[in-house]
Amino acid sequence: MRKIVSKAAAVAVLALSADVASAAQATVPFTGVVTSTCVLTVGTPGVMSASTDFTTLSSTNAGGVSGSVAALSTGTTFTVSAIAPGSFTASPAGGGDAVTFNALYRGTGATSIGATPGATATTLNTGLTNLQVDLSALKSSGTYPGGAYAAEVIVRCE
Amino acid sequence: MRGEVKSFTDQFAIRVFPANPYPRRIKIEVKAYDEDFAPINAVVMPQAVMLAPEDNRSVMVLVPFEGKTERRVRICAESIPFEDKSTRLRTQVCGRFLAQRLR
Repeated sequence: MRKIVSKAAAVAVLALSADVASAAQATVPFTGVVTSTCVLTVGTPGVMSASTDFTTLSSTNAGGVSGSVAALSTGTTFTVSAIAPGSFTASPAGGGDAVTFNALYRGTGATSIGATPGATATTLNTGLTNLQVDLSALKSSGTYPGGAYAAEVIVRCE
Repeated sequence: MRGEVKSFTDQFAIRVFPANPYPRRIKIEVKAYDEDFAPINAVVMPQAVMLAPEDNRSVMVLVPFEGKTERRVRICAESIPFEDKSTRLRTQVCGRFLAQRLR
């Protein structure tokens, strides 16, 4: 009988131990760091089309397409701007003479940006801002000769 | 992004980590500019990098003080734009750095 009691006590102790173990808690710490950074992702490049008098090539003319860039900012100090080129990277003979470039951008999403001259920097809010970039090339002398034209806008985040 | 660098030598080093956010590989370049965005003399290793999707890698930039005790520079990672459209977009992500030479 004493042996039986002893076994029962042992079982009770084991069970008690198991209960204590299942109720125990431990804290596992996790840490993480998000680097303050800016990520620019080009969605679609733009397309310039000629005005009816062939003195302006612009993505805002009929048939033109704005370029799109997604700007993701994880900090509050980043600014974005769109730098117009000084010349075409490709153009037929005479096509790049007497041309003035202007870039504009606007934004939606984390940062709402109205039509802004490209050289003006805008501070980005944290999050994803979708930028639409337009480029116009005004020829102050003569008209654009036929051919293929290409120009580069620099979308800058700093 | 901004940073400060202190150096005992006649040049200073900055390590940057350009990343590829696209689902395809891209080629990027790292360039050094002064505070007015004029290109400056600097050693960039490697200057042009092919990055796999979602990948990043370190690029070392060595900039000489050129006799000055302080230099303000911009280090920019630039994408090589797509070539099939008339208005190409070149993205440029830049950091501003102030370097001081300690004597």
